[in-house]
Amino acid sequence: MPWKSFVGDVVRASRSTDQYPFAFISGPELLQLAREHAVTPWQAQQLVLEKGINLERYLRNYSSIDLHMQLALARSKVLIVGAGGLGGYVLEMLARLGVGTFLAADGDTFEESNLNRQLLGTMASLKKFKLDAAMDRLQLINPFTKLELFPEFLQAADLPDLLSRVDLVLDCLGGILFRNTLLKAAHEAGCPLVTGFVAGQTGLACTVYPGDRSPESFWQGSLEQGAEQVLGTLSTIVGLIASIQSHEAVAIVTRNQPGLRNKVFLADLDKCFFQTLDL
Amino acid sequence: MEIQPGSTVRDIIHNLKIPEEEVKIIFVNGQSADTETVLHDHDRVGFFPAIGGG
Repeated sequence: MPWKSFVGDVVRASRSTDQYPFAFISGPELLQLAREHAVTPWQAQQLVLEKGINLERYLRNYSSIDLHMQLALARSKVLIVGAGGLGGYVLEMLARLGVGTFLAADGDTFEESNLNRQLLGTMASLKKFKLDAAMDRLQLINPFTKLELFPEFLQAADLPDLLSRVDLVLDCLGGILFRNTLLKAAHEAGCPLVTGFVAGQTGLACTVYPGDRSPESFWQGSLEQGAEQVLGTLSTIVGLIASIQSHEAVAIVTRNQPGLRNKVFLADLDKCFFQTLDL
Repeated sequence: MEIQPGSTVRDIIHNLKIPEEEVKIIFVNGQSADTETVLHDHDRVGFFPAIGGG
């Protein structure tokens, strides 16, 4: 077992308090030990959690997310399609929660009209690939993750391979056009899909397992028919819907029990109206 | 809004002068419905256009 001495050093470097029923280790120390033992940070995180030691960065996840769930998150692989409004926030939240592996696809670059709502869009990232900003941000937030980039607008033919490699897919697309293609591919791949879609101050979110009822009716018609084309989109509703999507992803990974199967969550922030509708 | 007894969701869409092809999905009292659904007193009706922003 080549990692035995690594784990031994982690045990010695970990600390305990009365507050938590497990020892924990700080991130910088874990990175240092991983380097010394030629273990990747991504592997190191899983070895530590398998040993029943938490990372200090996840202490406030407990007790909503216990050590077993934290390990399930560290082992999980998610595909994020779209790194714009929804995708930027989803990546941020899932990285902080502790998802271990991300595959992210987006062929777009940032333009100024994205800056009203897209977390990864900054003055520094204008005209640059959204996924390059995603990689930079992920390294800053959580170096114990892996991110594989697909800097292109996915085609239907790309989906079966990508979907076969992940536990779930997050539909964070902009516009209605590709959403039904992704939904159908996820169904065929047996892959759970968590979708979010917004316009103006209104947003919706839904989880679809293969065979479930789906919100596909929202995505009928031409690109111009999408209400967002007229209404624009505010950052507040994007952040809210991305939160719901991220929480559904955690519920799928940690206990296979999302709350929005065969239902769609609806929020209208203008009226402060929230409802879950039956599909 | 006031409606005639036996009115359907389609009648409301026409009364509100909403182009029917713009209505992509309909809920009555939080349940998925369609244009033929007959409405009753105090029903809550929701129409949605296509929505796909992100």
